[in-house]
Amino acid sequence: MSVAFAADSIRLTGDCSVEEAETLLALLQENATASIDIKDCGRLHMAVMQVLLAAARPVRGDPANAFVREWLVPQMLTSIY
Amino acid sequence: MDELLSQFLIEARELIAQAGDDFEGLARDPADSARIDSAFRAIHTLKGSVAIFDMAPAGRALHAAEDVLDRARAGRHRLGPSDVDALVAVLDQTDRWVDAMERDGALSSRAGAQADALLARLQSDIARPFEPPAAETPPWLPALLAREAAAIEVAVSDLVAFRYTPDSECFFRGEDPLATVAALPGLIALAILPNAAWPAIDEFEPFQCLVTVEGLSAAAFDDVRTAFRFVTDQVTLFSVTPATPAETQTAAAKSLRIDTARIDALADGVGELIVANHALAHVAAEADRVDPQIGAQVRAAHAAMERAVSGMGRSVMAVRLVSLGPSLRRLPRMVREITATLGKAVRFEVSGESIEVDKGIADDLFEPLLHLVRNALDHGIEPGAVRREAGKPETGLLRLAVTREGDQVVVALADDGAGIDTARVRATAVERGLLDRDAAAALDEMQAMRLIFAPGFSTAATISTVSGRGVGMDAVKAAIDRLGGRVEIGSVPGQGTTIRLRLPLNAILTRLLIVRAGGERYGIPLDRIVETTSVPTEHIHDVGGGRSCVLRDRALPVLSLAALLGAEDRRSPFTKLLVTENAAEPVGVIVDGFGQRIDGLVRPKTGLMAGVRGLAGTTTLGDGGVLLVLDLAELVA
Repeated sequence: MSVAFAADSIRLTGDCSVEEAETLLALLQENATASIDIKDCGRLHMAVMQVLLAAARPVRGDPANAFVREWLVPQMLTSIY
Repeated sequence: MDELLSQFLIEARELIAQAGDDFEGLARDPADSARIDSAFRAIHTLKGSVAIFDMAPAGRALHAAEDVLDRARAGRHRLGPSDVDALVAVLDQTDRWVDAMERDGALSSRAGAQADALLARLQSDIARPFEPPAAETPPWLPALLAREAAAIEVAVSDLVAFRYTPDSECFFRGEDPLATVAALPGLIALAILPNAAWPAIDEFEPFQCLVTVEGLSAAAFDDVRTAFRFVTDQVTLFSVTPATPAETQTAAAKSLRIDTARIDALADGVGELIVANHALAHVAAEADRVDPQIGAQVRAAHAAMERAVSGMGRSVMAVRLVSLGPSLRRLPRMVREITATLGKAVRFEVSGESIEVDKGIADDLFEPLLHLVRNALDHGIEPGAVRREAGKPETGLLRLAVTREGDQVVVALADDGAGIDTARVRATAVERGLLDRDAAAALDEMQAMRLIFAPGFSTAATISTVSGRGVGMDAVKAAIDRLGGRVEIGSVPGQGTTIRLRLPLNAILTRLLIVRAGGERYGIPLDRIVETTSVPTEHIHDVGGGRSCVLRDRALPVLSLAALLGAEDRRSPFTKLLVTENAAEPVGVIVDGFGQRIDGLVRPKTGLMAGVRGLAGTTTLGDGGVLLVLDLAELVA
């Protein structure tokens, strides 16, 4: 359960709780062009999810969590509302 | 009429009938939860339907009725007899409002006051604001349905649409809306939407929930509701029925509404086929003369065709068959209204209303039947005090029973009233100049009773507003005649009267007897013929201006068909007679000979023939010739 910046992407690892939203937001603000790597992420809290949707950055990875993979990743890919 | 309105009229009456059935059940057992449920659904749907039209008073009354039923359903209110009466009153009034929409396209100016009166009776919680049913389809739903059209298209069962707008402070309470959504059963569509445009990432407030989640679930409504049980105040659910495309219609869609004109066209086509097939029998006979082998082949083809065509005819007739129920279900309300006007207490029982008849009959039966019902309530069933004196229960009984007898439907209306006083019938008929005193005295009881069907007859000493002036029982008989039916009457003084309407199940083909007269062939509908016989010509005597003969000890007026049609009579030692009825009296009609019996499709007379008296229409014969079909009743009248 961590959010960290490495190379050119922000990597989400494990279950991301409400606290991770603030860290994620700060990293997004500091790295204006960073993409998101969700390959190893677990559950996502709505607070984290809405930051990802608002940021609309390129998302990479095929997470193991079925709900995230099947229902949330498509939202991130089409978050152009 | 505008299509939306005509569709509404059909559906509204079906719903009214359904609710009427349920209320009847609730009158017997006000705690019957299945009935309460069913009535609630019917009233709820009806409320939704009236909202499409300018029928606000109906909407208000139905809303209050729905409210009463809803509270009964939830066990918060125990229905009593007065509740059921009030519900029936709402339904009756709605039925009248629907009639008004059909007649005038609008409710009368009194509708508002009528609705207020009903609301007062319902004692419903009127303070509760009335939400127009239009608002029941949530405003967010259309966008969701459009967005998820692909998912809905492949759905095979009802879906639940949900909209979950988490409270913006919910994160602080430890809630995770996504965890709730992830636990939803049967998820088939999901969208996470910002409540407003996404703020720039530099101004983002991470601990406020800024989104709404919408989606669809294929799970049962209750299961979806359970999944959202901790956040019910933030969730709206709506049941969505996927529209099934025609080619994938399965058991779910078994019925289809079709314009009756299309069925009629189909029936006409089958009728023509039957006639065309008659021609084949003719061809077979011709072929037989040339080559018996070919003749046999043609006959076999004819027989195969006949089987196929008659099977088709039965299918088409079956399509036209409708239950009598919808036509009859308006009667209970009419009975309540009429008995209220007359100040009589009458129990009205209906049975056999599920029996199916041809649509033409179902449509045209209501008016004559209503007249008979009025008559029974007004003239048949005595006032309570008179009944009490006669030792009868004060509440009268009127029973309508529909039964099937062979290829006929019998609609019997029986009252337990005073019965028909034949002495008074005779006296009245003489008074009205329908026949003289001696003729009246000569009539047997049955004939005397049938006088009430004579034009211009009314047995009531005073004509009340209920039975009306103008239309008499003769109009009833004429209406039933038009349907190819017969009216029978039976009455026991002091015990009541039963009137039976015998109607054909099959109204498409007419059984015809071919007769010869004046060198021509004519068709006569078999249902007009009482009997056919042959008498020695010398037994026919000239009496005054006409002729008569004695048949089974009864004098029978005799007319010549040839003479009626302006041709010469053919003289022979034996005269062929066809006995028909005129104003309930037998009349003999002389013909030159009887031919075969056929099933014919009788086309109404058109063009030049329209004005010809005594002609019912035409039918095509097997040899392609056209047969004139006679209207005997008109000819001998």
